[in-house]
Amino acid sequence: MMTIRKATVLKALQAAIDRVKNASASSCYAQGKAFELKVLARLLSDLRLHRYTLTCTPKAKNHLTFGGAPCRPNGAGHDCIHVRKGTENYEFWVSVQFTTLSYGLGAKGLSPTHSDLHEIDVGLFEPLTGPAYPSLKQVAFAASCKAGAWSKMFAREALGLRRELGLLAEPVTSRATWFVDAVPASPAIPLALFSGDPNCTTYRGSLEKLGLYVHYLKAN
Amino acid sequence: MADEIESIEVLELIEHELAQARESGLDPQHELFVAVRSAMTDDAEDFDGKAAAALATLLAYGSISSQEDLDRTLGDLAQRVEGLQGIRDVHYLGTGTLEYREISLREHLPREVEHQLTYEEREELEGFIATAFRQRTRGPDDEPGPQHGGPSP
Repeated sequence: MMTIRKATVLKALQAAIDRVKNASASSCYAQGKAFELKVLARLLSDLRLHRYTLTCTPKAKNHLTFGGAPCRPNGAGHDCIHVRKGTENYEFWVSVQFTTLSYGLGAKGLSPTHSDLHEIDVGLFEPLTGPAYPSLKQVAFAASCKAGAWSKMFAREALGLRRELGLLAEPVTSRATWFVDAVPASPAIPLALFSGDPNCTTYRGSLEKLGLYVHYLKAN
Repeated sequence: MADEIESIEVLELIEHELAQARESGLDPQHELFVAVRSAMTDDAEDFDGKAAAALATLLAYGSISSQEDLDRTLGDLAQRVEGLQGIRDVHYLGTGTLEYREISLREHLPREVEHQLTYEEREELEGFIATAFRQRTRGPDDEPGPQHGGPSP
């Protein structure tokens, strides 16, 4: 049987109990957003390793501005990060909703509402102009971010999002080869699920066969 | 080593401490108790796996981002993205009940975090967790893994 220092276990217990004692709605929201920002930094780091050029022109001098809830692309009010290499040209947006696969299959000219739209926590899109919700054609990569303790519900939720991002298919060249070479979906949009709980690592493997990539990222 | 405990003792210690915390009348502790229990497998004999799942849950709960962590993340962004030098905060825009709300991330993060795990303690926990989870995925005929938590792969 494996062993570990008792003092370390007791300190981990104390830290967890403190967190539960002091949690408030606003602090939970901020912890989620801090984790989302860390995921963005990690993805941008991967892109730099693949020699992409990253630029941003913040609307305010000292802070970035992102959507705080599921939203439309808002070029006038929100910041995005431009990602370029050769003829490739993309933008990272936070909390922007896209029109789903099911909407594309059955819309018949109606405006998208409720179940026709899903939020991508951190999404890479072809350049978005105007306030229209992007379609699947414009999505290159999607990431869901889950701070705090892991729950199987996260995997189920991500599988639902996975379903709305494309049909299961034989693996083909990914729309984001800097993240993964091939994706078993049409269109080949990779969906990443980032969690700050090491328990998520037990969900790696089989879900990749459906184009869902689970990653552990330290929250601090 | 004298202060090292085995996986089954880890589980006993966590159950005992969480039960005491609940008895102290702080109801939210129940949430943590349920989360720890939910993370474990239903394999009655897999004490290493159960201890790792419980410790992973504690690690996730205890990982609080502070303003210092935000500075580090913004520093990373500034290194990689042209135009983000000098950025000190992130504001989130959302619709409130009557008007647009703008929330500063920095203002809602703690300046300091009490009982924060040290780098070494975190490495020790993550090493234990990774080793236990690797063992769980091995078949019965595979080579046995190391018997203590080492550094994370």
